[in-house]
Amino acid sequence: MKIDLNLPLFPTTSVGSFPKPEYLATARAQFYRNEISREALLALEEQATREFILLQERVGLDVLVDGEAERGDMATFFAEKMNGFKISEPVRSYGNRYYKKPRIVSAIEFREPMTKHFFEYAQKLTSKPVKGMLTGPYTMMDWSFNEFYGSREEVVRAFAKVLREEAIELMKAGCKIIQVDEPALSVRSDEIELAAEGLRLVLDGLEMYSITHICYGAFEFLAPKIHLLPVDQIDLEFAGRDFELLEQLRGHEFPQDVGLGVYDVHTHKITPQAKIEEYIAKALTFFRPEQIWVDPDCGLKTRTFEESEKGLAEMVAATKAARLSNK
Amino acid sequence: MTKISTSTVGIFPKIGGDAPSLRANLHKFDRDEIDIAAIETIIQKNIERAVAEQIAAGIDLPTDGLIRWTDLFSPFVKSWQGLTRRGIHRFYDTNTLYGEPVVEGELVFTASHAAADFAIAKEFGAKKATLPGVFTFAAACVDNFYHDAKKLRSVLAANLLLEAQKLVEAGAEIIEIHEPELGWNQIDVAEITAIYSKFGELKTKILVTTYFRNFSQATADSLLAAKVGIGIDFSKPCVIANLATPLLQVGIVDSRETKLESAEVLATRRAEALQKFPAAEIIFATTSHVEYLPHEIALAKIALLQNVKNLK
Repeated sequence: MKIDLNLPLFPTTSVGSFPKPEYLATARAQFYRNEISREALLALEEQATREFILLQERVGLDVLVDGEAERGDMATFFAEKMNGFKISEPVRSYGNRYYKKPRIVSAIEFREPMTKHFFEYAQKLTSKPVKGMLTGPYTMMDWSFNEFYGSREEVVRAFAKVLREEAIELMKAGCKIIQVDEPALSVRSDEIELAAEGLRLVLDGLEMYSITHICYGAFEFLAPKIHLLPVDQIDLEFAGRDFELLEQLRGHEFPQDVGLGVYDVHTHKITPQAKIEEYIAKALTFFRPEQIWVDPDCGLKTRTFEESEKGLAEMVAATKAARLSNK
Repeated sequence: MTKISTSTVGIFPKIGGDAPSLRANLHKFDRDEIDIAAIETIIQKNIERAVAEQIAAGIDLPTDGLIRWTDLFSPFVKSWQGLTRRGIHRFYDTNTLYGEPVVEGELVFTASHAAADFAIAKEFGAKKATLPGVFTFAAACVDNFYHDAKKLRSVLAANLLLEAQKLVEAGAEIIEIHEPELGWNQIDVAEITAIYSKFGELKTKILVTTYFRNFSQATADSLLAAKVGIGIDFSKPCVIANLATPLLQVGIVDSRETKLESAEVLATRRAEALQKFPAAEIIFATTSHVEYLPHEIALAKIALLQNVKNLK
């Protein structure tokens, strides 16, 4: 739903996660060994959230995130807070990175608000809008083992029902921008209608500007159908493949706004301001200026805190220059 | 009389079991807390663990577990000249990612990291080695050098053939070539036959395996013409009607779902496979990479293969 957000041209934001400070990793391990209380862990998660908000304000982003201090994996975090799951032992995602893939063993049900606390906490720390961040029903389905439902469609609908309850919680808490991530869709263009149905079930009629983030997949197959996604903005990774994706989108409908990933977050090299200015200029050969938001390719949790700050600062500087030349 | 055996496919769970944690120690290595000799010892102990766990589950043709591989292409990006890697990309429709290989110059085989690891695993009882398929590798590559898809495939084929020869020298009894691309997309069948005929001449058994989606009849025929064995994913729809191959691998235990197959489901799949494809030798296996499953469930799943083999 289009709502007036009163943002500048090319609003800048980030995709969701920020690098977790060492003290948080240590505290989480201590918590699982029953060495510290839930309250002590929460206090440290809030401390990290304050640091994330300060960083985003320092670099001058327009739309902020809470930084996901309390989250581990983006699917497991939600599964742990819903009914219907067992959490598996870790499986590998890439390199030496693992996640505990959820196993659906009974009906999926809403148990408690999952993201509302940190949304509210972060929003109180800033006058800028903070995004509500959910993992979408299609991705939750695709990244869970299903031992209960008869079909993928049933699983998506079950997740959508629960995630809509969460989206309503966020809206009631004052959230004006909601991001429902669907990275799994990037390699399942044959199921885009199912993903679109899931997003519609979550978002339909809610008075929030809606975003979905998709990354690291076969966009050549997704591009012809991407207009089917019922959101206000589709956030995509462009920089990691040097804007090859723009050519794959060219010639296809793209009525939504675009989240333009201009900062490659899977390398220690910082994408420099000049390169980002070049990327924005390239994007303007396909998108209208008012369609474009500027952000990194993906979450920053794999970067260091210092890298994240430097990378975002380059991004904001490039965006300010682009605003001047597109007045 | 069909000879029946069992095997697993691809990368085995890298963590779990009795060996020192590869995950924790790789992090230590990244932080310079342990040296290269220490991490090498831990990798080799995990190769031993992966082979031992397959043998303990009754697997006849254990793989080397591909413990050092971060994805299907990483050993070759490391060892061949002309290849680098850039960002990450999801491997077909999974949530497991690979580093995109980038062809920056003439691809030159130098040494086989894959064969070196297989030689280690062979000591522990590994029998089946693994290579990426030519078409799957080519589809994953960003080609900044040849700018000609057919030329790239031809060069990849030549290099992978050298890798296969090194695996034969290292004692591989069977080499499984992973070709999900041939199930995913329709490829020129003459080119498939031309490329795999050279592998079919090697002095060991060759399996060209698809997973996630099955070969079309035309693709299966083109592989038969190349005189290589064929691996299919029998948990997915399979349109192949005729398959007069002497060597067939049937992916019968789903390595992408944790739910254990019931005895009835496995018996039905087994009977269908034997009736439909009367090969001289059938290997019952997992459908794809075992590492898609958590370690404990992976062990329970591969143990089912022994039951499949022993069914009458």
